Amino acid sequence: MLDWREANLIRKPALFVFLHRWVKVLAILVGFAGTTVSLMAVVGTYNPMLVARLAAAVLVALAVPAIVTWSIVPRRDPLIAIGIPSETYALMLLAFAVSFVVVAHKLTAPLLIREGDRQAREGEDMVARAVWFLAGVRPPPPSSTPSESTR
Amino acid sequence: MRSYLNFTALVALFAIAGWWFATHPPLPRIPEAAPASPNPATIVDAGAPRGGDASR
Repeated sequence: MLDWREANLIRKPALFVFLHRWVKVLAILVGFAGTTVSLMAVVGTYNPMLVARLAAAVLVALAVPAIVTWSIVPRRDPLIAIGIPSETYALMLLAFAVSFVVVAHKLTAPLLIREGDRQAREGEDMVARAVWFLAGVRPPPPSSTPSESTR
Repeated sequence: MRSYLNFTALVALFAIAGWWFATHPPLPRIPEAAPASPNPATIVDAGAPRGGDASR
């Protein structure tokens, strides 16, 4: 019977290692983008400046998983620690993005719609369309621009 | 063991997100309600004479 440490050190099938690596990469990319726009939507409620929203969102999105990783990584067992940072980032970023966009959709959709409006006013049309998609709404027709009342 | 759990969790999250966006296509946007404005019929002009025209 393998103990927990040995179970983590046992060699895994090459196909699983390949799949896990790329799922982690995808989760970090998708999760970071989703988490960042979600946090920007929250910060935008208090400060509509692009720089402030972006800086606060990126800082939190990068720092919180780093703090969690730092607190859980076993320093006396470097073999077990292999992979923990990437797994923590992938899981935390994707879990937050899915929780914000999907689980709390009724609460967060208005925030995301307003964040899409801010992005559109700032000329970031691609980002605005992505954020509106996350909010579950279609982009407005080209003739109309987001009104100031939706700020 | 930890890798398998992490992989399962990530796949589950992707599956939840994929199911959500597959079953909830983007809808036309509903305009937000305009700020409540007073009924024009009830607007009282502060400069208007009250109690009728005193010159009559």
